[in-house]
Parts: sequence; C-alpha cells; structure tokens
Amino acid sequence: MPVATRILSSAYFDSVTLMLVAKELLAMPGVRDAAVVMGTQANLGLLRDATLLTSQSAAATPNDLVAAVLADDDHAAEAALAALDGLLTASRSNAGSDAGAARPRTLRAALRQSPDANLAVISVAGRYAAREARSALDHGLHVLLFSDNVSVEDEIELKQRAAARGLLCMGPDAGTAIINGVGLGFANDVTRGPVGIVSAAGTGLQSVSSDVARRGSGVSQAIGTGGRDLSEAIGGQTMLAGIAALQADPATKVIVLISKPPAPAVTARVLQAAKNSGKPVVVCFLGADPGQIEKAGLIPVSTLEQAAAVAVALARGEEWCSPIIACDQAPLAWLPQARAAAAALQPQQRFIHGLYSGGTFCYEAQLILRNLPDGLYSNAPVSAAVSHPIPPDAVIHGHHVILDLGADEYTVGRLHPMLDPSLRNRMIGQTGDDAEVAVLLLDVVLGYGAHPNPAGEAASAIRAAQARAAAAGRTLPVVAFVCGTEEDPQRLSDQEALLREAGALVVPSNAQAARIAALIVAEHS
Amino acid sequence: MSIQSISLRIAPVLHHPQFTAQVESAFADACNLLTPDGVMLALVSHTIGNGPLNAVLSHFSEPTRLSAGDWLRGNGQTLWLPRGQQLSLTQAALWQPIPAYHHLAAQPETVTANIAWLRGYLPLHAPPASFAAIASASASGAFGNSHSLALGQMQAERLAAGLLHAYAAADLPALHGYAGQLAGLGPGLTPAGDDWLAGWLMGLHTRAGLMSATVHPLSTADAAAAVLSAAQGRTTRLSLAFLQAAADGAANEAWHNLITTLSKPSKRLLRAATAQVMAHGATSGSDMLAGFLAAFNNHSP
Repeated sequence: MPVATRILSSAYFDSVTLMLVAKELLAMPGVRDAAVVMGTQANLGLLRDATLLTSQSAAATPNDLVAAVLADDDHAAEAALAALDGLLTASRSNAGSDAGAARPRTLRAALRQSPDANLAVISVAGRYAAREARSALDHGLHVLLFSDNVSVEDEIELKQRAAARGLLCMGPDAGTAIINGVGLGFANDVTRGPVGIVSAAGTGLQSVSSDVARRGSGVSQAIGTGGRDLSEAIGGQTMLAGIAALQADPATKVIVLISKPPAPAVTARVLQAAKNSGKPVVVCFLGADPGQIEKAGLIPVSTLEQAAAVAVALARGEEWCSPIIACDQAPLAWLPQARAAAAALQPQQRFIHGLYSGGTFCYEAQLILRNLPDGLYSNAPVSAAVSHPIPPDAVIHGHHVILDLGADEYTVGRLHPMLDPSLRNRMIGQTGDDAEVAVLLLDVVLGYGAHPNPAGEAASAIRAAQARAAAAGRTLPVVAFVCGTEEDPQRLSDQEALLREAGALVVPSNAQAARIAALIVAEHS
Repeated sequence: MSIQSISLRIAPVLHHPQFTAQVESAFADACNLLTPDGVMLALVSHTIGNGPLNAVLSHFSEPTRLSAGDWLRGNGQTLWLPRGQQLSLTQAALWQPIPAYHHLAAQPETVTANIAWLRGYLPLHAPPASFAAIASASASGAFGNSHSLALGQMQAERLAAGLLHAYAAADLPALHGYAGQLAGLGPGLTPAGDDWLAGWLMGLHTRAGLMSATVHPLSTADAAAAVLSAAQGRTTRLSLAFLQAAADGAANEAWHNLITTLSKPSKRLLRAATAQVMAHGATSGSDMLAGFLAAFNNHSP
C-alpha cells in the first residue's frame, strides 16, 4: 500500500489541531493510517514503526510539520493530502485560534455585520461579561448572558438597566433559551406552540420544553433567567420581566415557571405577578410548598414531567388533575422489570448511584429519593432535610449517592459533561466494581451544543460497567432517560435505542427513572 | 497599549536597546517570537498569563494581532509592531518565574500527603490522549485512533520507565539515552514527551526544595543538563525553550499556584490548582503533571 507524505516548513499548530486533522484524514475513503506531527526524530521513529516514513519525511526537521498517509491506492493517498490545507485551517478555526477568520471581535463590529440583530448572546470570561452585557443593553439588544462568575452587584445593575430599557437580561449563567423559535445555548429543537416557559433552571427548561414537544404541543418562548435570579438579592427581576413578556405575547396560552424554591419574599412577588397575568400558570418550584402556590390561584406541580403534562393539558382545554395522577402512576407499569432486576441482585447490592450531567435532574432526583432508608448523599445537596453533603475526597459507602457532574468541582479545567462525557464514562465504568451498587441512574441530554452522540458514549460505558460487574458475579441494572426530541440533531429515538441495546431500562422522564430505581431497591430489600 | 508584566527570564532580551524578533507562530491568545540569537519569547493575553517566556499584554486584541513572519523591533522602552502599533515596556512589572520551592520544607507531611492524593486524582481526570491516561482503559481511541500515535503512547510509557530506572541507578548515559528518545515524541508544538520531561524536571526541583539534605547521587542540575543535552536538536524550538526553563525550575503561574498549594491541607484548593495546571493545552498540563509525580515514585530514592 502506498504512503504519501507532505512537509510544511515552519508550520505550527497546537496538538488539538493536529489530532483533529489526523482523525479527519483517517476517516477519508481508502485511508488506512494517518499521522500529522512535528518532524522530530522521535516522531519520525514512530512514523517508521508505523510504516509511514518515506525518504521525503525522513529529511524533515523538528520545526517542519509532517503529514503522512497510508492508503489503499495512490489516488486515495493523494486525495487525503490534498485536503490537508483545508482541514488544518478548518480545525484551527474550530478551535477558536484562526488569526485570519473574518469574524467580528467586538459587539460594534457584529452590529455592523448584522444591523437588524436585537439579541446578543454573551459568553466571555466572567470578569468581562458585565461590561459586554452593559454595552449590548446600551445598544438596545436583549441579552442572553451565558457567562458565570458575574458579581451579584453587576447582576442587579444589569437587570435594572435592562428593565429601564424594556429589554430582557437572561442570565448571568443562563445556559439556554428559545426565543421566537430560535434555540440559544443548550437548547432542544422544539416546535412552536402555546406554552411559554420562564425558568431559573437550565436543564429544567430543556426538560419541560422537550416534553411539551413530545406530547404533541409546542413552545411559544422559553426564557432562561440564570440560577441566581430568584434569590433575595436579585429579587426575581428576569422572571418578573419574563412573566410580563409572556403575558403580552398573544401566542402564549399557558405559562410554566420553573425553579428551585425562591427566597420567600421573591416567591410572593413572583406568584402575584403570575396571578395578575390572567393566563393559566403552572408553577414547578421543585421542593417548594404547594399550598402557597395554590392559595395564589396557580397550579403547583412537583416534577418537571408533571409541569409539561399539565401545561399541555391546559393548552388543549383539558382538566389538569388527571395528568398529574398519570405521571405519578406511570412508574408502576415498570414493576415487573423492577422485580426482575431486583431478583438478580446480590444481598450487598442495596444502593442507588446517580451520575447526572443535568443539575436540575440531580436536584429533582434527590427530592424524589429523599425518603429512602440509609440516607442520601450528594455533592449538590438540596437541603439538610433531603440529603447530606459529601465531605471533600470522601468515598461514600452504605448510602445512596446522587452526583451532579456539571458542578464546579467536576468542571474546572474541563468541559461540561453534556459536551464531554469522558469523566462520567470513567465513573460509570467504576460503578461496575462497586459491590454495593444496586442501580445506576443516568440522564442523557440532547440538543444543540450537546455532545453529538451522548447515548452512544454512555452505552459503551454501561457495557464496560456491566462486564466488570459480571466478572465479579453481579448484575448492574441501569435506569436512564433521555432529555430531547425527535428533531434534535442526535434524534431522541436513536439515542434511546442505543441505551436499550446496552441493556438499560429507558423511561420517558427523570422522575420516572428515579422512582423506578427506588422500586428496584425496595423490591430487593 | 502596554506590556503589564515580563518574566525575569526574558526581560533582558526584551529590554535590549536593539531588540528584534520575528513572529514564529501566532494563536488566539499568544504569539511566539524568535530573536536572531535563537531566543524564544511570547506575547500573551491575560488568559495565558505569566510564564517563563511570557510578556503579558494589557490588551491582546485585534490591533495587536500578528502573523507568522512579521518582524518586531524595540529600543528597550517601546516595542514597534508591524502596521505602526506600539507597546510600551516602561510600566511592566518583572515576574519571577521560579517558584519558592524551599517553602515546602516547612510542611513535609502535608506535601507528601498531597502528592499521594495527586497520584489518585490524575489518572481519573487526565484526558484519554495523555500519557497520564495510558494505563487506563479509557486510553483506547486516543490520538484519533491513529495507529502510529497510539504506538507513541506505548513507547512513551516504556521510555519513561526506563528513564526513571536510569535515574534511580544514577546511570547518566542511560538517562541521556531515554531522555533523547522521549524528547519530541508526540504531536503539537510542545510534544507530549517534552511535557513529561519538563514535569519530571519540575518534580526534581520540588523534591530538592522539600528535602533540605538530598541523598541522591545525581543532583537536579546533573539530571537537567543530561535531559537538555539529549533534547537538543530533537524537538521544536519552542518546546526546547520550555524544557530549558523547566530545567532551571521555572514554570507558569498555574504551576506556581500548585507548588504553593502542595504545602496546604485544603483539598479544595489543591483540586482547583491541579485543574488549572491540567487545563493547559490539550494534554500538556496532564502530561507535565504525570512527569512531575514520577519524580516522587519509588524509582527515585
């Protein structure tokens, strides 16, 4: 088989770029092996061992870039090398380091390119974020502020500035929104429809908007507020502005509010504004007292699944009690599977191990599992009444463990698990070695911005974990759910099928998944 | 526009009244320069921050954007860029690139415990394509499934083990041989083999700071000289410059923070400092950390 070589003198690229380009070359038709490396002696030695060294590359110096391709025929090898320049440019551009790319580098330049834009998505280092958001608001733009590490003082000032201009300031730390049908950040592809959402919880917004679409309805607007909006200091300014916007929007027939329990004074203000909207409002304040919500004439729900089910029913003019009952009873349909899984467990397998990429899902699962015997531990505990914090570096034995792998301690210096599942995959694999784990509980989040094949990644890790458990004479039941839609780039049904093929019990919601995990543990005990 | 801080290592070069340098490579947050005398230095943004070869700019944006081949000139007080821009050097603070290793000697038990913790942390968190992840099953598919580079990972493991045995036996020729084979091994501007060697040299400096009376027959200077001489001509210019800095114990801000944190009992701080080190490059930070920890393993008396 022929080897073709190309030498680029004094061409410098970082290793990410070179690895990406080598991967692209390998994927080309007829290419058997490919390497793109600096021409150091060590690397030339590797090329020789891999039968990729030619007389041309043997003469390269350490400051030359060497591309070598082993292919089925000359044509395939030359075609691959012909694509090299384009791949190098594209990869470097994708890595964000292309000096020549014609992308605007300032807000002013971006507005010159798109003078009709009315919303800015801002994702810069926290210390610059407030300045950029202020500038966007001053230019008359609504803002989705993806960045975190913005001070409370800046957040208050930005939201006041937005309110004074009749604009929305979504965030800081707002990971998702759907505005006029356009998904921003980590958004799912949902049809447009009568349900308007205002959410302080990113994956909560994704879950409800996807579930609304799965139930055959659609979303008018989905407004992210950022996780701190309903604190006493911020006062729910964006949620109040969002309710007002949905109140004025004729396409919105039903409003859904999603959050962890707000500060008490903020709760009263938000519920009053929701009541004044004159539209039916479903309130999903996870773990909050439903009595106060009911008293305000609004509809309390306790899970994200219920929020979607009730909102869709209301939009169709149906009564809203039966969807709640249906959601609560759904897990019972899985009882035979739960019993079968429980029957195969060893006596010491007694605990649920939840590895979540979505923070809201982790929170919701803890609320659902709060009454399990033996106690619940989490790196993101809900409250002392629900779960215990995991001490630093402690290994928890003898308890249920529910982890939010998107929390800061797992994401410093690495991508969020919705983008890069490698850490979670390793942790899934390790679960197979833990003799106490009875059920592994997982979420898989689809949508724009998420990993292109998250279920495929999880499925490989599940297989590895189950093989490790089997080697020790155990089974490892896995309960999973996928947050997403058929229209998402990853396609919901394909992703669910991958998990099922790996032996996971795949259910439609996080609440059902958590309850089925609890059923398995209860049946076993 | 101005330069805010300059590493002591490159300050004499940048402050030379007849400074000239050519841009060797330019990235989003850094621009590597080469002087006619062969000295490497870099103009960088705050995102990169202080480092042994770095001058940190007050603003690293469109006007300062340079391309490979551009020439820069300076008179010791001002740096002239192509297209007429100027950078003032007069307000620049001088930054010491060598961490205070000797402070570690005051807390030997804490440092030892933290090193042990790092040994557990690194394999779990290292990216699959790094040397640090070689031993774990997750390394499959590393380097984009390129057979040649997967081969490189395995070779690196063998060579690193050989180098550590050579050091333990105080066998300088063998150490030189293994270092020469590791130098330049792997993709990118700073090949992973160099990153591992740089980390190992940093580890030797840290050990020396930790133990006031070292009993090893090879001094850190001996080992560093052997590595440098072996790497000469076998790796990229930039990577060799980093190796030279590591041989002197010089490191970037993230490493300064980690070295300082080693003597503190807080695992939260240690985790944050470690993550900062590992965030450098695709695998560079993890590869350096793997080399650093190797300096404390059983092969090293």
